[in-house]
Amino acid sequence: MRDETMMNMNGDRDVQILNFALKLEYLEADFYNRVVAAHTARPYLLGRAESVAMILQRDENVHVAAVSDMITRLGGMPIEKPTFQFPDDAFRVNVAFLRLSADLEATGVMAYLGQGKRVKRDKVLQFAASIYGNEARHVSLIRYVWGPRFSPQPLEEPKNMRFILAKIAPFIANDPNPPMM
Amino acid sequence: MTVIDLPEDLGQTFAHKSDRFYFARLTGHPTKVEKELVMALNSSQDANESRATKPSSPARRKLLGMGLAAGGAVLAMGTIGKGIAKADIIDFLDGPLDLDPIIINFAFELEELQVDFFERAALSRGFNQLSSREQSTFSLIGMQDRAQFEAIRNLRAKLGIKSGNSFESYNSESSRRPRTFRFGGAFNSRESLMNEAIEIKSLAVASYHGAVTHIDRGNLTLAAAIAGTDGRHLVILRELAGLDPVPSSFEEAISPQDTGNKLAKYGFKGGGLR
Repeated sequence: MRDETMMNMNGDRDVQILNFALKLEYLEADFYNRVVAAHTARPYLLGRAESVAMILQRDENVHVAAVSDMITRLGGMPIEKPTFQFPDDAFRVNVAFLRLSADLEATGVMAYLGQGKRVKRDKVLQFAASIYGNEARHVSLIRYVWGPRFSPQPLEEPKNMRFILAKIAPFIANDPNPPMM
Repeated sequence: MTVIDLPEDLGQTFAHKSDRFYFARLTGHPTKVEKELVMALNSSQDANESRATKPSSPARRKLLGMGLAAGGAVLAMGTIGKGIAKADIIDFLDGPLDLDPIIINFAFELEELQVDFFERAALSRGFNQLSSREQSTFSLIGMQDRAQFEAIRNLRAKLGIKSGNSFESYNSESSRRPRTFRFGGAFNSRESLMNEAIEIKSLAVASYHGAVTHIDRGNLTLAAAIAGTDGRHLVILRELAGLDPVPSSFEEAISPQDTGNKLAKYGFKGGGLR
């Protein structure tokens, strides 16, 4: 009965947006968990990349817990974690890790920014903004370690849900959740 | 599922009202502060309009014009933040108070301050003590802050918000915003330059995050787009200074009033919000 109520609440726009965010956070957290595990088994991250990977792993796992918690507080049900897949070289080659990490973080920034104006509740907006700002720091730091300009443009670029879902689709091997769009 | 405690400052921000403040009507007698505000509002017949859009309420326009000129909105903001009833003000305004012009002018001056700092930094003695990577970082930040400043200027023009100089011109001379800000000895050495840059950027980022629920959703994307880039700047400055670049999993939010007070030492006026 409780599950049914929570599923009904999942029609709420803020809950939908948070579940969309949760999918991205699951993706990022899963990626960094695998990166750190792979590096622990066979070191391949060079210099600052190692400690930065651990910072990002910490933050993305915290974000997963926080977004799930916020969804529950709103009366919704967090989506299940999909099964993800990534190119193997991201777990073997330093620069491949940096490139994919920068791409994933940039995707997160664009996704949060694209949803900001759609959020209804102020507390959800404030919450999402605090994660968005953290993701912006991530992408800048990882690009700085990688080498290209840490801030390629003066304004972050928003992207809508359809764009983001298409962008992350190659990383999703199996998704037990109903389609978001 | 792990339940985490949100940062304390985030929790405080959750208590803020929506992007447009609807004053709660209570039945009690107005406080002294409320009476003074209403008297100030009633005496502001000659105040200029501060915004051309949303002209539905002459009273609202009057408040905004007066607020930006004489600090009435500062009073309103301060008291709203404490949750005090504003029954008399509701009667006077006959509707919600649109804070966008105030917040946007605040952001405008915030960007102006950053532009002034990073452009002057590039000509300073301290800049010569920076490594080449640090110099290119400062130059990029200055360039992008200038672009952000122009973006907000364009938004103000689009919304019909008057320029800072214009609304301050009928205020007292002492409150006129300086052409340049005061940064003391910040430009004298690498260390002071880095410290000041980090402080200014930290306040800018926290301020945008603190204002996120106070701005109309239609104008939110631009403000947030700037906040994100400022966050990019900040993290690299911290990295270069040897500080933890990402000390928290959540971006800090501080109210614009509080950041405005901290920036006052530079000659920051707060666009009418302080």
